[in-house]
Amino acid sequence: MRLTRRATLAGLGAVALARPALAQTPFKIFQITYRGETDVERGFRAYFEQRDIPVTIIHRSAELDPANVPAILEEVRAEAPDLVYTWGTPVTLGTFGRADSVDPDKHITDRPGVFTMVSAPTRSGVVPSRASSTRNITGTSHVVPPEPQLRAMEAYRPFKKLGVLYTSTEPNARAIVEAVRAFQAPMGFELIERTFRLDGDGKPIIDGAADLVDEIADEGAGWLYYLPDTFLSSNIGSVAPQATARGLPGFSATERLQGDALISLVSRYFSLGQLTAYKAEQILVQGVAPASIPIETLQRFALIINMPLAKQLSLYPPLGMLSYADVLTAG
Amino acid sequence: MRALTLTLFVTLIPLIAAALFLGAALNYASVRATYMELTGERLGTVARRIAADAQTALSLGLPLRGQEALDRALLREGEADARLGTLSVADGTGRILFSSDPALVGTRATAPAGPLERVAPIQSAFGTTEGRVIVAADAEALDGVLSDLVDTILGAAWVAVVLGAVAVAAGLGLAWWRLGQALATPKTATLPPAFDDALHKVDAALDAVERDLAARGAG
Amino acid sequence: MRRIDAAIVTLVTLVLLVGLGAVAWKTVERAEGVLVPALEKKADAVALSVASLATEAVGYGIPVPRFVGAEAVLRAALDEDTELAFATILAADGTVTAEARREDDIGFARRGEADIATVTRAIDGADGAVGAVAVGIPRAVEARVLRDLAIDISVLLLVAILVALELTAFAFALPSAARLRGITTRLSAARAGRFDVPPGASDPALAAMDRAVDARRARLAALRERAAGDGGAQKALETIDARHHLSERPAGAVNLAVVRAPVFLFFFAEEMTRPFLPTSIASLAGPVPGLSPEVVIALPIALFMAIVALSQPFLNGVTERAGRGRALRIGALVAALGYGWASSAGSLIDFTLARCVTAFGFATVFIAAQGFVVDRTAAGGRARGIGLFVSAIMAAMLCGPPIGGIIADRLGEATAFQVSAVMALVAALCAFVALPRTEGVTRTARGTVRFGDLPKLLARPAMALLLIGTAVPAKVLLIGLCMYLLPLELAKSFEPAVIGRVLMLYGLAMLVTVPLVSRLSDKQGLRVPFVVGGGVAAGASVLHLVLWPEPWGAALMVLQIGVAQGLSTTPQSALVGDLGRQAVPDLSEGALYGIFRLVERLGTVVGPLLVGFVWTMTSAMHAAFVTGGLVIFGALAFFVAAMASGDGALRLKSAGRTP
Repeated sequence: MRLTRRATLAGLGAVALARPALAQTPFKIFQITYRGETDVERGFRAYFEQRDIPVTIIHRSAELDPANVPAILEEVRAEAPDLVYTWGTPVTLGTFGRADSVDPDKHITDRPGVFTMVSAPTRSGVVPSRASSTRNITGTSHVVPPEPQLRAMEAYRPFKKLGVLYTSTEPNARAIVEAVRAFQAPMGFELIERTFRLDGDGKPIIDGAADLVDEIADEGAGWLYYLPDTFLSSNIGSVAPQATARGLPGFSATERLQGDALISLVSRYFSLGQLTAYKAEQILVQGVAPASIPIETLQRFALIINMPLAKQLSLYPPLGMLSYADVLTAG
Repeated sequence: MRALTLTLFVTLIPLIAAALFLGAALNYASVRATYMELTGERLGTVARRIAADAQTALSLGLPLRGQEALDRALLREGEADARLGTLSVADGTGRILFSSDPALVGTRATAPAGPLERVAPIQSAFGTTEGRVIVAADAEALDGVLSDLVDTILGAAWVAVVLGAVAVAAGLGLAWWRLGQALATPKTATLPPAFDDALHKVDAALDAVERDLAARGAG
Repeated sequence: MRRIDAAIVTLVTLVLLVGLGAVAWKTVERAEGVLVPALEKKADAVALSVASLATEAVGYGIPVPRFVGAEAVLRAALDEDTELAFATILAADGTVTAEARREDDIGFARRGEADIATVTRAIDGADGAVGAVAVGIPRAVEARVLRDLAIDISVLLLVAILVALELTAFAFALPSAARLRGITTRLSAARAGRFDVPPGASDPALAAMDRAVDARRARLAALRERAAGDGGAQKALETIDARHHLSERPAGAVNLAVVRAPVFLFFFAEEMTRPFLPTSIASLAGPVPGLSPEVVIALPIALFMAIVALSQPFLNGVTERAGRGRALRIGALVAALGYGWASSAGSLIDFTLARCVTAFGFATVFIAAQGFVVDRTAAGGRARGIGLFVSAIMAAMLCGPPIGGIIADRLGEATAFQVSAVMALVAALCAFVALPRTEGVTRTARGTVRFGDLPKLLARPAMALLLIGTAVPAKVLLIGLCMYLLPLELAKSFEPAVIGRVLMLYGLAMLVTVPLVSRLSDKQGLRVPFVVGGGVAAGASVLHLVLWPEPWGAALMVLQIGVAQGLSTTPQSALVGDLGRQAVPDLSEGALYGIFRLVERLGTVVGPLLVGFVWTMTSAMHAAFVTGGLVIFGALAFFVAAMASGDGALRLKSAGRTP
């Protein structure tokens, strides 16, 4: 599959940016990522380049293992950067510690920090509230709130019943289902909930998933909502084809499932990087205290339409949606 | 009498001329405003269309400066309509990155460059303005369209002023002549007939009293 | 004479009507050639926009007949552009697959398809066009242009006719018209069988007529002598005299109309600045530490008013000594200088100083013209004389703002100030032609304003509340709201021409209401109800601001203030006379009204500052409501005081004189 936008904008990624030479000493930023450089880092860098703010970025990856973080922090202390940047909840907790248990010997406290890709900044204990970290850090989250997601589904295809299939043992999935339930009355729909079966050890199993999808379809759901559920994501191949066979469109809130869902509403990693850089700029250039910069998510999300699936389901997108959606085409 | 007619003529003609020329100016301004509005709406549609594309590309990870495709889009839109003038895309600091007029690239976008300009902002996914699309109408092209209209309206106003002056002069002349007819001419010292008639009535009444007195005096 | 000037004004009106009509007709005829292509291009831009979206959809493999939600896209296009009549998407075979039509507009429905131009853009597939987007626009652009023109032209026509009326009246008041006037008055009197006409000037024709009448007078006198002792004959002679008004010889009346035109033109010049003056100040005003921008803008306006108010007592004596006519000319020249300076002022300080110069000129002209009228009228004719003067100001308030707005709009504010300067010069010229070069009138000193009397006046609650509760708030409302806040607020979304049209409604309402009311309230002794009712109605007018969309809310508010103040202004000054005489019997009428005008004018000074202050603290809407509330509260407080005082003047059908 290939991601395209209107013909005028073909050639994604072919971006050549000239870095203007400036006399000013560059800001030194130390980046610690979870699995190497992503679009978030590219957006972060592009933001500074666009504004001619010189930065020197030192990048280290935890190589998918949070245990590698303490060694990287030794390097941070030696480098004495102007700002520390962390990617994802494990790396962020490893670098800055939980809000209620910061240890200056283990964590970075003397350098301002920005974090990104933390899905639940308060629930995971990174910050006490989104309004303020009350310490030397601020950051961004990539999670799309439930309301815009429901509105996106409604805009594409109005519905009265919404199916959801999730893993009962995943706290994150349970929290989202809880939030969606609250919207039933105000938005006028009914939630049809099914959870994956569990084995004797309480671990989810994929057996019977197709039957659960059938049940949801039989009850007349207009959409099947794919939550950011780790078990579902890794077993989507056993769920999505059955839903498609039953004419049930899927909706996803993560980029990972954009090929399986009919539409996805996601935070663009590039934009998220820019938003993170915007907060870094406030700290570095304008000298704002990180504690007084709120933790935010994007205001505008990317809507991705899976056109091959739309043809298969005979559910074409509303014409107006094409003017703001990104379209996946077979290719 | 002659002085009065002259005074009236001298005060009323400038008034009529001023009113007619102001009316002509208003007529022109009204058409011009309508034309500008129509053209402005069109420029706005074009600006918004380009800005929407740039905005989507931005959220896909293409920084504004790297959107070479915009250059082609601007040229294409500019060629599609010669009257459109100049199309430019400026970054957040106001520096022009792309333009249908290559000479403008790299310069700073100044506030309204021409008589008519529409601007559409290009916003990031978190609400900051990353740049703007500026569509400015070509001043000469606009003037060319409207100059014909100016000539027509001005011509009509001149004709109206001249004819109006003639009409007022004729009217005043007529009034003067009619008055002259109605009134006594001082040279002959005869009184106007209407005045004379009224005096005769007084005379008749006084005559009656006099006769009465004479009759009684005799009796 | 009446018939001649009416005929001249009718002639001018006809010439203007035909001339402006012809120009407008030519404009509309030509406009079509300019506007129809522009309209089509605009529709084309919309068609292209929708077509490119549709082309994109086709590129994704969605066939044109299977488009989803296309109506919503078309409807959005119609909503964004209110001029489009319809927008449709057509399949390759020409069948309409999606359509949005402006059904709500009866005009479009009635008009046939022939009057609607259609612009089409193709939807491109891989192998050529697979459909099209069609956008329809009514060709009736001339209707749109005509609608815009109609308002402009009717305002212009109204103003031109009023100016023509003033100028004609002025021309007939000139010495050159004296003979014509003399003959016509004699003739029209003679037609009614009367001869009570003031003696004519040294004109041979008039002298001949007067000699003829004098001969009859002599004969009447001779007969009277002869009839001494004869009751019947005496009676008959009395009847003849009474019938023909032979022995009545009114003194030669001074023609006050000569002062009307200069006053009208001069106030016209100042009223022209109303719609754009506040925004003019705003554009020059920089931040002043400790003051909000609103108050900074209010300051020059308040300063102008303060100079006019405070220089009044002093200027009365000065203009009397210098001669009213000369003072008027000098004042107008000084004001013209101020306008010229203002047109080139580059800073707020510069501009404010220029306005101060104009303020001195303005105050001088006002006092000199008022004094001119007062000096030449006895107490009986004074009300009529002042009425003449005031109605000239109202006519200027009607004419000035729309013309000033139009000039500022099309030619710029600097030009508008220059035009004001020229108008002030023309006013000076008129005064030069018509007013006496040297003053022959010497009068006993009129009562001068003694501030020591103020506490005595204010000691009476009814009098105090009449001044502080009704007169001052009325001016706060007029200057603070109509002349300061309104132009600034409206300027955010409207041109000065529109603001001018809104402001002219005040002059229009006053011009119509005042003459009607001055008779009514005098006859029926309804002074207190008129003052209170007018105050409440004026205050309540701010409600229009929230009831209607702009500029209609503002227009109705100004109109209602005009009508309401038209209702209250004459009864108010009559009440001042009634109450003042009772409070301080030894105070001369002149001094009493001097104090009244001065206190009233304080409202014009306080107005912009008060409104600006409340605006800074809250919002423009709050400021309007606070001002309106103040006016209502003041009127009601006066009502209570008037009822409580048990004062005869406040309830009885007072026969007091109006000034």
